[in-house]
Amino acid sequence: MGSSNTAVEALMGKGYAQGFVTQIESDTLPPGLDEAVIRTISSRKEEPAWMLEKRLAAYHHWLTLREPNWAAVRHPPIDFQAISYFSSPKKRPQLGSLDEVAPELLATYEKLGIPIEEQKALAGVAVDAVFDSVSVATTFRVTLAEAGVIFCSMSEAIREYPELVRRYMGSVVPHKDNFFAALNSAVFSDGTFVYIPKGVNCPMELSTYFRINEAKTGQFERTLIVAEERSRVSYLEGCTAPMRDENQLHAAVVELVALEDAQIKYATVQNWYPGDSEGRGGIYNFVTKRGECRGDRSHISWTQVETGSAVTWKYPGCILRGRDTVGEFYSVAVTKGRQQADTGTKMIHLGENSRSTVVSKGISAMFGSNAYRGLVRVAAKAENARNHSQCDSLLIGDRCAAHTFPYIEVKNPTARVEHEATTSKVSEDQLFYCRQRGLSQEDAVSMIINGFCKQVFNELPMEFAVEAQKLLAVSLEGAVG
Amino acid sequence: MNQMIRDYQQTAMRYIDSLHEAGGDRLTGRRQAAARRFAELGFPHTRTEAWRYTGIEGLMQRGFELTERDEAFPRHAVMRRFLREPTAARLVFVDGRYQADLSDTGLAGVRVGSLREAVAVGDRQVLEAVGSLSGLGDHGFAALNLATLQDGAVIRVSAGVTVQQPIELLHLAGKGAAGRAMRPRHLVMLEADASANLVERYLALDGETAYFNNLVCEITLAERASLVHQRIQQESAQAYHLCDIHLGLQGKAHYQGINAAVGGVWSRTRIHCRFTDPGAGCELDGLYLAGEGQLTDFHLDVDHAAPHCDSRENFKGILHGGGKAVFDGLIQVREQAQKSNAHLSNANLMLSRRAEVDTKPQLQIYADDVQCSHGASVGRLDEQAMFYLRSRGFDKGQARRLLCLGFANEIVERFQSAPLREQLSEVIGQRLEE
Amino acid sequence: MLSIKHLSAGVDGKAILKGIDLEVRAGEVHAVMGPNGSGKSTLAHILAGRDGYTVTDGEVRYMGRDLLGMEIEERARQGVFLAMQYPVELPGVNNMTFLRESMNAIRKSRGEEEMDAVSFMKLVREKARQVKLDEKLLKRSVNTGFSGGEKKRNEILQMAVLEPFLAILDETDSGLDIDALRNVADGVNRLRSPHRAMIVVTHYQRLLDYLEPDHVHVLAGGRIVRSGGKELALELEAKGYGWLLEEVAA
Repeated sequence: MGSSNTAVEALMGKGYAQGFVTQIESDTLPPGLDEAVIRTISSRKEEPAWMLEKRLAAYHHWLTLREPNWAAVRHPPIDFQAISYFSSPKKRPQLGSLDEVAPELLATYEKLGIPIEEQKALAGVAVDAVFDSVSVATTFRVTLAEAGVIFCSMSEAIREYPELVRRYMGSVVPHKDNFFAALNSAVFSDGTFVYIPKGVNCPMELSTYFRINEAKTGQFERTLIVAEERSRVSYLEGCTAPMRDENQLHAAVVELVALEDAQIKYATVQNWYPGDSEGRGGIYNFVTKRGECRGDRSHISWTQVETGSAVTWKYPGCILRGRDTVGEFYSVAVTKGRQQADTGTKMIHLGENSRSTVVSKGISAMFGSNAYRGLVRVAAKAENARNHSQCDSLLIGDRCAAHTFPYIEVKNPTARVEHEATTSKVSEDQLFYCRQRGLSQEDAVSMIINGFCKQVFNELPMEFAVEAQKLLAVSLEGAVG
Repeated sequence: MNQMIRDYQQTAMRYIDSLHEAGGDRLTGRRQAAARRFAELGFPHTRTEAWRYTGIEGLMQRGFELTERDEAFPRHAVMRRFLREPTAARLVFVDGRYQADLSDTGLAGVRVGSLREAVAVGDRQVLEAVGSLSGLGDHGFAALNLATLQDGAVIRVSAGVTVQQPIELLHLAGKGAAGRAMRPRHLVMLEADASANLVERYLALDGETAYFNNLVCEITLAERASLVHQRIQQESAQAYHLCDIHLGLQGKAHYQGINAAVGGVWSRTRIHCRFTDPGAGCELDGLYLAGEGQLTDFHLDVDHAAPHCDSRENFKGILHGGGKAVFDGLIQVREQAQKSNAHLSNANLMLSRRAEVDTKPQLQIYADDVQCSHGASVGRLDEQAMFYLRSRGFDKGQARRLLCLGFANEIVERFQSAPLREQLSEVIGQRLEE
Repeated sequence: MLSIKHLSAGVDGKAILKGIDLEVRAGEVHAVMGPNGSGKSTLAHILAGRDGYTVTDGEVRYMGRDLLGMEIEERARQGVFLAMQYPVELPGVNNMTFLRESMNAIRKSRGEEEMDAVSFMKLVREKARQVKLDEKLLKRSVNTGFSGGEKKRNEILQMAVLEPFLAILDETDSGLDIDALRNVADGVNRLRSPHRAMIVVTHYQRLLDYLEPDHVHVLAGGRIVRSGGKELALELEAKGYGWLLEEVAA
């Protein structure tokens, strides 16, 4: 099988289909970070004083921290002074309709196959498109407003709903959480705010498309979703980025708060530029995502399909504080070329009868390196906590790597925690079987890999599942076991 | 470097000088290098990943002397603890000191003896072997062992020799160990096609003496050699026990280690196995029991650096009272190690609400044509089984004991020596009745 | 349809087949019998194109083309079907989807239109009923968690749907109880046709009770040591393989 590797890699080394740059005028701060930059960001965004104070506190804490180095990833040191911390498409007056949106922007979406018009037409999907850092178009707000749902940019939320933002922002991921969370808390540019009032079942799936566009501009998204008692919401996040030569840092923070009987489903399809075949360029994706099941019987579910970025470092987790709470993590992570991913989850069981499920599928091809890093902690008071984790790795080719690092910490004897992990390759028997039934080698591999990921795809909303399968097929085109 | 580390290093240097002056120590250079390594490394702390869950505060507060004392001990008490079955050879250490008159150097084809004597007579093979697998030490205690090592066992089995009966390695700690650190180092070398069965035990002459046993064991198996290694750690209730085992397996060699850790207030055993030639195999089984105030730690580190090697690890733990267990099982499969099979399992039974388990199985895989898996679980006794036993007339304590013995039995049965199996089951039974 | 001449092959330098000659015409059913290790399964695998075997001599022509020069899927698309002794599990791959993709890949290669979903479902349900395969299994992952009998029925279902020209059944009877054996045999008999040839590889006579072969060949030590009609199978059943091997040796 060794002989076929070169051909496979030639096939897999296909250019990044989403690599192009939109020409649009930007209002960008020069590179560098100091207190003045933070003050500028805050004032440009016309933020209240309390927000500036929060940013400065985070900045001063960040100065005391060092970049973490424990993840199983390698990259050249990041010069945080070489990054520009603010960029927004040229300020325009309030947009009334899509006609007022810059035509280049619309063209970009069209190339990506997600034109806003089509999105609008898509039944029940509202889109808050984030281009670089500032939201430029928001749709379906009327329908949502009727239900009492707030779905807006973070900047707007800070101005319009300061009491909600003050109450919840940083309550799940405090700025002291880690290096990148501190950085994000200091310089976050914009992001999404979602608030679902008591008893409301959000009438549509909420979706945000992120793009990183401006060269050398770090993207520091801040997302906060609050689901009040007995409410439900499903949130979809999909990402693509144009091709650039230099590494771009993305350090987002996502916080979810679920109160009593609330349910939040958060799904991500991430396909940022992974760099060229030598690993040059590509996004550094250092994300802190965490949800807190604060109320009893609340439920948070993370689903992710990660195929892009040069380096990924993210551990969407759940703090299961209430009784009978449920945390879930379903993940497919693909690394090929020189991609590296260190991803997994943290399930912190604090409440009685809290339950968590972890299903992680890692696929490594070519020189890709894929690590699952997970923590399951059962605190002394978490009676009858349950966790089941299943982590499977699939290796394609003999120069890739797969790692599994689960941490299990249990302080309560009534807990039941199970972790299983396997590593294997696409078996020759499976390939032979499929080909004997007339399938080409490529189709056989794609079918087997999709089967491997099935359990995770099942958790995605229908149209996302289809997109994810397509993405996987493109990512691993020509792969041979 | 903090004062405490400086103090220990100076003590170590003085010890090395005194040995050198007394003459006959041919390890001076290596000891000095290890002392320097110790000063660089210092003592491990919980910020180091490998020591994340295993603090050493208790040990450091108590402190330990790097000296030795020739304290009288009751011979009959030692003899009573001999393995209750015929042995091929026996090496006895009391308070870290070799006891020639209680030992039995055995049969043809088996050469056993004291490390200190082998070093004193300039035994070339032994001099080369010291530190050949462990290096100077990858943590402070291991470096300190090499710097100040006292004595240990040397066990050699000649090519093609099969030793049926067990070779016994018995370590006893009595009054002479109080407040001290013992620093034994054992060398086991099996030549090609040799096979042997080693029974290694750490026992206390007195149940409450506080001491620190800081030992290192280096085991080399040549082509097709095979070793069964049965190990029991049953130190005194106040003892600290730290053991690093390094395995070097040549082509098609096979190592089977069966471990039980039931004693000590704090114990940590690390088994490091590196496959450098194809076709070798390593099986590790273990059982640990931690009760009130005890911490038990097992670190397994299996490194597949050659193709066609198999490893299997199965460790089980029972936690009661305020017992704490730490388990860390790393499997590494390097690029060249195609056709590796590696499987690890760790199951923990928690009997008390004050108990704690931190388990961390890890896979690091760099080759594609491999079969690797690991599993870890933490749970309590099956309620249905408890109910069933109680409905058959067993009281709660009896039912619990029976179920725990059943849980442990999978490992207990791996011990080839019947007297060891019986003793172990007895210890488990007694401990769970507490 | 199939012409095997002097076929010799082995694995890792070890010879397994030592000069096989076999002619199979459309409409015929050939049974290949023999003791364990005689090379029966190797022959089946080589015809389907399994990797790992080295052909050292001879040739195989299928419908006038060089079969050994064709890729695995190319053979399948040209109508060669291998029902496997140990059908492979494909976790997460839906059985129905798998069968549809397989059928469409074959149809497409022949320039035929893909079958629409409704007709396909109807066809598969019908065939599943015929081979007595529980319809629930159509919705499950391919062979995953199936019993031995279910896996074999699933193979026969695939054969019925894909309608090959040359069907090779590799020990399809192994591990089946009598009911399953009968279902499988019925399924196979239903597929007998003047356009289709079958090679039934088996250790025992019992499948042949239901499936009257036109020709029986005994494979031993990598050679066909005896060929005859269906009565040869009965003789083998009664006397075992020993006498034949002795006779050949003598």
